[in-house]
Amino acid sequence: MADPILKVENLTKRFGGLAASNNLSLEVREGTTHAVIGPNGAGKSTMIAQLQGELRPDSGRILFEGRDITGLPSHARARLGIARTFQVTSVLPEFTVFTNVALAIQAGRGHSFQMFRTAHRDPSIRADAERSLAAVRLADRSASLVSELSHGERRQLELAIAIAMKSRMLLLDEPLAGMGRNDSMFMVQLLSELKQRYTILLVEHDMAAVFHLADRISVLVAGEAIATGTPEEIRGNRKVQNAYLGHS
Amino acid sequence: MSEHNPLPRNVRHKPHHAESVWPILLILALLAVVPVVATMLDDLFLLRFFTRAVIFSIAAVALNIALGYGAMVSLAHGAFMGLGGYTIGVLASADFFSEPLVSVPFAIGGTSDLLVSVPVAVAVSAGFAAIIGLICLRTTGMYFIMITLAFNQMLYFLFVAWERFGGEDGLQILSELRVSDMDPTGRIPFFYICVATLGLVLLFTNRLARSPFGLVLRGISQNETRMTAVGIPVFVYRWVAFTISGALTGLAGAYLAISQMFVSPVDLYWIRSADLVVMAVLGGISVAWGPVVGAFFFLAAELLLSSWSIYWNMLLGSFIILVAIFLPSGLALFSPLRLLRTYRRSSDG
Amino acid sequence: MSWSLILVQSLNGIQLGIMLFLIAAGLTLIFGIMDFVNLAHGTFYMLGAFVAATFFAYTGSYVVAAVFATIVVAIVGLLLEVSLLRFLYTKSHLQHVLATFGLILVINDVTRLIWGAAPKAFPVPEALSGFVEIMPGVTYPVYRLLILAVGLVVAGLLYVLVSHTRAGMWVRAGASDRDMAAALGINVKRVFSYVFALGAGLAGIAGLMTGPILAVQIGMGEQIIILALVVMVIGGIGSVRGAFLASLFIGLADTFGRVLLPTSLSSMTIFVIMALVLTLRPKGLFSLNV
Repeated sequence: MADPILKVENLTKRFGGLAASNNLSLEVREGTTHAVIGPNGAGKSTMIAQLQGELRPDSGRILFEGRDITGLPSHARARLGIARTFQVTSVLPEFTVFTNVALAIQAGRGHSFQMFRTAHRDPSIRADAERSLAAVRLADRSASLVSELSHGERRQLELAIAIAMKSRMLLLDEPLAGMGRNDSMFMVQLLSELKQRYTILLVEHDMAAVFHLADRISVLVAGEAIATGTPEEIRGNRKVQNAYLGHS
Repeated sequence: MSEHNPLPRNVRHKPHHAESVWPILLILALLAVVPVVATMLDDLFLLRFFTRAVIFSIAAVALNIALGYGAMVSLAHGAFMGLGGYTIGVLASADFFSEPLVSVPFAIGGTSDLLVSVPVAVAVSAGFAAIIGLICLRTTGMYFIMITLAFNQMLYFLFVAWERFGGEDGLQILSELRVSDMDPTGRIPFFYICVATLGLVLLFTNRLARSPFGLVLRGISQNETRMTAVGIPVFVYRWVAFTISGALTGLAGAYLAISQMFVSPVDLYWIRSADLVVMAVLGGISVAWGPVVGAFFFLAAELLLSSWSIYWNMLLGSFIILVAIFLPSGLALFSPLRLLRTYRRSSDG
Repeated sequence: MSWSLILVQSLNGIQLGIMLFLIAAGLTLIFGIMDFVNLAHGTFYMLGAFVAATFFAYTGSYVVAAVFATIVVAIVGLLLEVSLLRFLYTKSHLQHVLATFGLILVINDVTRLIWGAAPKAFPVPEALSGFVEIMPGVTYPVYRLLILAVGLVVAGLLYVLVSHTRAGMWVRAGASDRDMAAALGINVKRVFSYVFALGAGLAGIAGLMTGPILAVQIGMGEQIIILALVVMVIGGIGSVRGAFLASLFIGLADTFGRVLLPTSLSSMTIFVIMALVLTLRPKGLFSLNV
């Protein structure tokens, strides 16, 4: 097995006196679904922000496919192949579902400084977009404006965009947040289909979903990964039970 | 608290392939008829008004590339316009007085040949926009508005202080401007040049809106975070749009100088920048031709209302307020049906 | 440059700063709390001067004129907010710019309707028209010292109001989270109205105090609003403390700039400063929205 696709080494980030990330280390192996769980305030959002490039760590490194991306700006990380979804859905509200996805595909194919031709006429873009939308079961809403979509459908759209980016790793930030039971079940179903084809780093609160989907789980407490292992190992881990599962 | 919500929240952009060219062609056709009408009515003033309105339309449409598509509310566009005009004036003045502009490191003389000075005017405006863009675009929202205003005023005070080119009194263009050997400043030919330019700028903007670049720009204006997440270097795209917008506004400024045969710091004052923004928003920022409607309306209102009443500011101001509250998509997209629908929807909660 | 000149200009600078603060404080509160861009804020400054000038002419008492003018301007602000401006809160900043631009036009014309187009006479009241010796051989107008004193007192009261009273707490709550504040039972709409009226009143006070030393004329609002916006932006939108420090800084910088530099370059000073500040700190010095 080669080096892990994502390697987080001793990430530390302080806010005033508080260490939101405290020597945080973890590894994500290619082709696996790696979940990160932890109680509120454990530093999951801070971790994601640093992986994304929104925050610069005080110390530590982030290696993606062997390459040090710690100082790389966010958009460059996206181009390297890290696609993310947001905890609070973030799409382009005034465009159609199709345009949202097509734009992501366009962005991935070199620069967008063409000012004279009409965008997205290229059949390969349309094909890729339709494929991504089909993978998340949103193909029939392709022509709808995002403003007409339900909350769950917007989540699906985000997923479609992430897939369309031909990414090397999906970074999913609480994909089930704010979803009702049916929507959640549907999303879990989608994710279990996706995990066959993608490397996924998943941050989630929904324990049932996590234990169903994850190949490996890291437990974050006070900015540190106190335990990493398979779902069974984590379930049986005394430290984890004390810190987290016991109180949930 | 959102600090960057520049697009009207209830404006719906149609899917990009639906922005039609027909309104643009209609506008051009109507404008083409104006000199004929003016000649028939023997009304020179009419032609002068329309020339001015077309020039301001070019500026407002150019501003809208940054404002409407890029969500960059700039108060520097008066400076771009004025800079374009001053370039023409300064070059013409240097030519007229046969004084080189600079002698070191090599002599740059003036010129009255518009085939030279107009491109130079555009280049100067583009250059200024590019330079201040590098600084201004690091800010967003209200801060962006203010820093563009700051640079606008800096340029204004610079020209006020610059005695060599007229200072506060401005600069008369005394030489005979020409295009190669022809004189283009005859009223009617010049009007058609302006209309043709407006047409080109409109068609360009229209294409831009649905081009890959345009979509990226509009995407950035809706959700910068999302665009970054798909790999777009947001700053670069904004900067390019800002520069293009400034360049084309400079072109309008050059035309204004030619039509007035005069430039002054008034052309650079922040009120001019604000006027352009008002014209664009009044007309409607979500279609390429919206600012044309706004510019015409604004200038016509100024003209007509002032002849009806000395309190015309009040009338114009009230109208603007009403448009801001009831017609957020602007005059261009005004349709009584849509208004009715909006009110029915909002009363349903 | 002599010490007496430095002292006099410093006082002038601080005085200008305090006046700017009174205007910018309202501006920054309104923007920070209601997310509302009010270009027409300068008209309250103008109205304060006009109304006070009229009352002074009728009553002969500066104090009476000042009190009345402040109340009148605050009421005008309140009425405007309740009848008109509150419908714009849900709209974009562009609509705010458009509407308040229109409002400037309307208010200027209404002013012309009531008072005529000529500048209004507003003499410095007799009792305050003298000079005092603030340093051996250096005299300074009593009136300007009064402005300084009153301005500082008002600034102090504002500070106490915002940070140490219940009302101030409501205001700050509304600023940081409108929905939460409403859920906690704070009448957000009413808070907004009062904040707006307060801002208008403060600007009015600045206007009525500056009236006697500058010309009371239509258009004085447009001149000052630019300075006030600069102050607001440098200080950081939403921060009263930032507005205070920025006002003093800009007041001094502008005053000394005019003394030290040739005329038109000196006008550039504050803009260069603002550009520099924003380059280094794109959100101003003390912005609440970090």
